[in-house]
Amino acid sequence: MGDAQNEPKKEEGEKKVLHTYALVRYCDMVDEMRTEAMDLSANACEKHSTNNESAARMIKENMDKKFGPSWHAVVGEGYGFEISYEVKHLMYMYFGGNLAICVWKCS
Amino acid sequence: MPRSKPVLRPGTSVLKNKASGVKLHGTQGGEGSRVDLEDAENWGRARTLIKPDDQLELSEAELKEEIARVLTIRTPQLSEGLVIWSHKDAAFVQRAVPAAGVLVLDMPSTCLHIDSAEAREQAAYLGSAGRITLAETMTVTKAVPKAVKKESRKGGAEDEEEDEEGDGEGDGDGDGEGEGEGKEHAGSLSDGAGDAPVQGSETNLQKDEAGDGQAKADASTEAIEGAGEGDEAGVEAGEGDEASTADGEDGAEDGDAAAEALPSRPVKKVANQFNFCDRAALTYNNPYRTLSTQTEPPPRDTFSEQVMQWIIYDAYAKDWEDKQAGKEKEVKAVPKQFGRQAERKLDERTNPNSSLNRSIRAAKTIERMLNQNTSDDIAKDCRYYEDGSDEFREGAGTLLPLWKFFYEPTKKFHVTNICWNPRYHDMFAVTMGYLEFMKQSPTGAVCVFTMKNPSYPEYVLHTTSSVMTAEFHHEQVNLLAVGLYDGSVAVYDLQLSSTQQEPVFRSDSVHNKHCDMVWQVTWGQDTPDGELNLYSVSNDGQVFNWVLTSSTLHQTTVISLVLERSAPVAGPDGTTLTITGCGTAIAFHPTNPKVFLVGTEEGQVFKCSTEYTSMYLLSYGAHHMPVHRIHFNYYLPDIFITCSADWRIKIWEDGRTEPLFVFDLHCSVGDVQWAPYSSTVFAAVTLDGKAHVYDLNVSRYQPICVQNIVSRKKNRLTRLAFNKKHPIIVVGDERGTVTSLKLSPNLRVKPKATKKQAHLTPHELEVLKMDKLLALVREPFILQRPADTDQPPE
Repeated sequence: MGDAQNEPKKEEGEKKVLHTYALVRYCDMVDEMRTEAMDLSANACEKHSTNNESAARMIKENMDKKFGPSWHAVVGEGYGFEISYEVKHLMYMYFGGNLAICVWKCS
Repeated sequence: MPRSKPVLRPGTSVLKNKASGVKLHGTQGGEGSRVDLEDAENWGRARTLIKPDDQLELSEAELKEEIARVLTIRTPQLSEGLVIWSHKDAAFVQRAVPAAGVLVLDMPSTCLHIDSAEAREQAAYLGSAGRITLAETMTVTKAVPKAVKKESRKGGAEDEEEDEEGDGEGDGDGDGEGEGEGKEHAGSLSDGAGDAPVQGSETNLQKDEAGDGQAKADASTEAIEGAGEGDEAGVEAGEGDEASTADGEDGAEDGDAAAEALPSRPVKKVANQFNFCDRAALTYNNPYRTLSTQTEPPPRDTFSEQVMQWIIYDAYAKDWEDKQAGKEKEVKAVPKQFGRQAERKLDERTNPNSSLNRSIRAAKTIERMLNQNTSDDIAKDCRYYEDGSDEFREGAGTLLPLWKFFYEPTKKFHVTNICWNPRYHDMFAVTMGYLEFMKQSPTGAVCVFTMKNPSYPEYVLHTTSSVMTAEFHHEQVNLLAVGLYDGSVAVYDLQLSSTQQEPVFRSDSVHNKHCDMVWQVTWGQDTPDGELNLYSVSNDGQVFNWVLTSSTLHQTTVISLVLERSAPVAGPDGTTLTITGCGTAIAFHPTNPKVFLVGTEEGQVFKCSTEYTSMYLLSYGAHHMPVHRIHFNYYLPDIFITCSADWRIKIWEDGRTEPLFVFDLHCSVGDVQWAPYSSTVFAAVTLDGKAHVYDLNVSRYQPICVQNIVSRKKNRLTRLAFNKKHPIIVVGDERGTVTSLKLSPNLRVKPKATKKQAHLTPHELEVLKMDKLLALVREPFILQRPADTDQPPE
């Protein structure tokens, strides 16, 4: 579930403002679920900062526990996707400056 | 017979278990095992024939008496007197006897004792057939039908008899074995082993002959009869007799054979737990049906996105920018709002130049101008008009009505008190409340009017109870002490009253307040610490002193107005109650700030000191009705005036218990006040709407002015107050209106100094004037010559 394709350096000489906060790009979850998913994703990515696959696994498993089965999670630095998801169960966010996390539910 | 053997054994065992005194010993045993058993069991019993020396000799009757063996759960050896030392009680306490019994099974029985009343009832209900079945049910079930069959076989028509026969046999058996329930076992015995019952009866006979006391005589005779009948009835019995020596199985076989031969009689069964059968019924199975439904799947959507590092970077960058922009906006927006609010608050509260305050001031100016224009003539009258006719009237004057002051929302209230401001001579406070007990309202008000604006009060203070009294502080004239109908005391600061309606001080409504309406408050001299303090007098008979500390009113009781004339009254529960007077008026001595007078509803006036909380300096029996006002003369500090609902005004000199002057106004006097400009002038208002002005210097009997102020039918006058500077009085009525009146020149005549008195000040002249009058009415002090001890008695 995790992809790690390329690791481009983000350091640019002139203005080096490195943002690492969680930036939600798209989310149609209810607030409660959304905060939960954000925290969880952030935690997972911090914990498994070197292994995107285990981060994705952790996200998926925890989401399954909390909100019922069949969640999917993608963590990676560069990928493309087209998914079908259950409405109100999708979150797409950036984290740590170089990770994109997509979490959705589809059973 | 292999089949009957297992039947027999339990039968016998039942017998043995139940019958305590078995006498079936020494049998000529067909049943080897049974005899053995009985022998073994009765071995000890047989030996009892050898009587111990101390055995009781019992008569026949006593021997026949059944003694049931009673088993108790108590251990007889257990001592009951066990004690244990209790450290708690410091004594020996009885120790609880441990329970000896253990309840293993508790099951209500459905068995009935055959001799008991219920059993007989049931037997009678079921009939004789029932008795048999009853007997059957009590024993091993399998044996039952055989016995019936066997006996019924003897005579087809004599079924009943046979039953009885069987009973008889059973009786013989059972009783022979010393058991009361013998009948129940009759069936089993008779059928289980045909010989057994006969054997039993025979042994019984033997025993009876032998004089064995364990068998009952009647039972045995029954047994004999039964046996006899059995013999007579037919071969079967005989067979049974013969079979006594033979095998029991043969008898049983015979019984079986007989059972096959004869039609069985319908037997009614009594249901119990030993007698049951399985029943089953087959019901229809409900047919199956399939039902299915399909729900819509949760809505789905597709989402697609590209993840590139530069996309992520751009997104972060944009978000950051947005955030920065938002923060800047907030930073800009927030202080602006706060600043505005703070400014506004400042404006409203303190800043005199704020638009609100400026507009208020402008409005007030315009209001005053309008009032001046509309009541221009009155203002001029007030200032300049003197009644010219006074010159032609000797010793009479008039009151010229000026403005009427009222406040529309308080028009229904009574004016309960009026108080001029000591510094601002145009300002007076009017308290609005109700003087009638039945007509109280949950609100009240204090209106502070100024003569410059008769149309609207300068300040209005709304209270939660009727206001009974108010007084301005003599120094800090913005402080207004207020006494309320609910017994509380409050102090308002008029400077703050434009912004806040709450009093700056208020007595706690729970802990420290009067228990009844406060009739009057008056400011006392400041304490040595410079704290303001006030005194209040209330209907509950207490005079309190209130000291204004930094935030609270600190209360102390100055005096309780205990009535002297009445001894403590016995209360309903044996306690004694001291009756207190209801204080209605208070006045402090002008020169001695520790001495004050308190008027009561009982008509008495007490002279008290703040130094003594439990005694009066003097008590005047001043009136017969509530004292409404006590007022000290402005010039002579020992002269005071009182008025009362008993129509009288009395002038007193301090220390004399008799009044100097008494005036009867023929109506309840609401208020009386000395004039501040003359020592001999005082004014009073009566309930019939008249104001009376007296000048003692002019007439000691007649008022120099009596004038109707309000309509007598509709309205009453309640209170009155002299302006300290101007020749104006204000009178309040019961319709919330205050009328100001100007005193005509004749009412304020000043004493003219003669040539001799030229050096005297006007004040001294006033004192002289009054003294002269008083000298006329004073009874001269009788000088008591001190007892002269030196002079020898002549």
